[in-house]
Amino acid sequence: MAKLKNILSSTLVLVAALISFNSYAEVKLEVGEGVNLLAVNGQEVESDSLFASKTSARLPKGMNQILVNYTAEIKPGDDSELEVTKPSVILFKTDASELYLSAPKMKSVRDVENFEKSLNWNLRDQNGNPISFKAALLVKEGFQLSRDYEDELEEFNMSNANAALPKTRIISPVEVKHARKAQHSQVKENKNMAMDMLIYWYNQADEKTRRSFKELISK
Amino acid sequence: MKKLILAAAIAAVTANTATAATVYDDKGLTFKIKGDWQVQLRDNASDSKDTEVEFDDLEIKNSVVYDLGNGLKAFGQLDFGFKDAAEDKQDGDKLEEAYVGLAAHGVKVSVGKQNLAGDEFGIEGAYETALEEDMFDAIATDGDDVIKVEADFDVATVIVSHELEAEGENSENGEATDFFVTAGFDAVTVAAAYQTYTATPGSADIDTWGVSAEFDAGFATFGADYSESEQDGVNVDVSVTNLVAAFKASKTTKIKVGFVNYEEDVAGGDDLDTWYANVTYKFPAQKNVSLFAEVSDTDGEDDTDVLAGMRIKF
Repeated sequence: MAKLKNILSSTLVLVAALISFNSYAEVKLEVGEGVNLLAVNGQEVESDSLFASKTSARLPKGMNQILVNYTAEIKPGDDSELEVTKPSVILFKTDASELYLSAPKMKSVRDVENFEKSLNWNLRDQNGNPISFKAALLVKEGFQLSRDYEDELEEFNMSNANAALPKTRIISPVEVKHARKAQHSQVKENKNMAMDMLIYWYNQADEKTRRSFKELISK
Repeated sequence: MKKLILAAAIAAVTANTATAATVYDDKGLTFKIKGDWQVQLRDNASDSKDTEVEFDDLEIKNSVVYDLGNGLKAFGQLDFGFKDAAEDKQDGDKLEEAYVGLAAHGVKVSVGKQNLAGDEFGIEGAYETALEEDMFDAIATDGDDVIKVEADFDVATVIVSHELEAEGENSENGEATDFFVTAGFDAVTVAAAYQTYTATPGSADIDTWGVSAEFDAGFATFGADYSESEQDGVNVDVSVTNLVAAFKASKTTKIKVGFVNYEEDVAGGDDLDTWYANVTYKFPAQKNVSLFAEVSDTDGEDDTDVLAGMRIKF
């Protein structure tokens, strides 16, 4: 019985978190010149071909987390240098069908440093309306020659950083009871959808997440 | 052995998209390796010379920044160039920059072997031209004993440098005081520069000044500059004028067309024109890598100058 309650709790938490994803609807994200899309929802992105960069991605509606950086061409002297900003994690929630992400113009190293402090990315929907977001730098200390963004993002999301994914909280049995009463009819209506979404997100998750999920529901 | 380690580090750096040239970043220390490698196949304008593989920039820069706290940073850079070694003009590398400095709240003070403030001047956009880029390039753009102050404000940047005379020292190679200011207003960027240079103690001063403007029209960028030098006691003004337009043919391809005029304002003096057109393709997956081609023609040359090459910048 306790196990069933826990499963129900977990299900409710997930449903609450995922209900806004509006099932399989998609958002097209495009990034502007100089913006490099590094990871989408915890998965590193790779360019499709030699002559086409990954400048767009399909995201589910609802909450998304992307990892981007910006290559600025600055001009010290009569030459130019490329400065790459530290990667930014951007967390946002949207039900728009199209999003466009760009960065302000950076002409000097100071501009790059200021941008890394303010992280004033420009995220807008298809109508040009700004989309609110949380942003934080994904900082790796020590040698930078090789970075595993998927691992780093996993660690980042366990932290209390500004753009970390919200933590799922296990609801107490009393809260479950109240929630069940209040949402009984809605849960019934959404039962199939919740199951569909659980299966969908389970299939989307990597092995580590699947194991964590299994552990969570077996407690 | 050191070269092998460096080569391995460079290979690792260039193989990684995101971290570019940052090798180490921890506890207030940032170490970056920057590079600019440009190799091109060039059939220059001289009939007496064959087509060759030419090296333009072959540089490796080692840049270190220490965060000292309270907004104060210490920095240093060593820049090695291998261009002349690659073309068998000298053995080994050439030390192009070696300086250290302090930076706080947008103001940087640096001392060492480095570029002068006047080197910042100019909008010329050719890969190679037969004429001078501008009059600062024609007179002096770097020094061994340079003290430089750079102040970066919101809309304007001011740079002042002084190359010490260093008489009697090995680094005695002229004295120069430079001033450069640039400001940006929406789509327009304007700049002005001034330099007074003395080649040897007792020789006449050469005064150089220049102004430039660039306008970003969205679909294209247009620029113009004019610089002029005058030597004390010699009634000859020498000037360089540049016009350039840069268009984006696509997200990855940029086209530049430009015109350069070099004029000696004296009877019988040179009055030469160069036009050039170049195209640059940047690989979308790695903006650090570009392919380019250029054609240019200069008055009085035998033929058209044609080149094509590849550049890796990180």
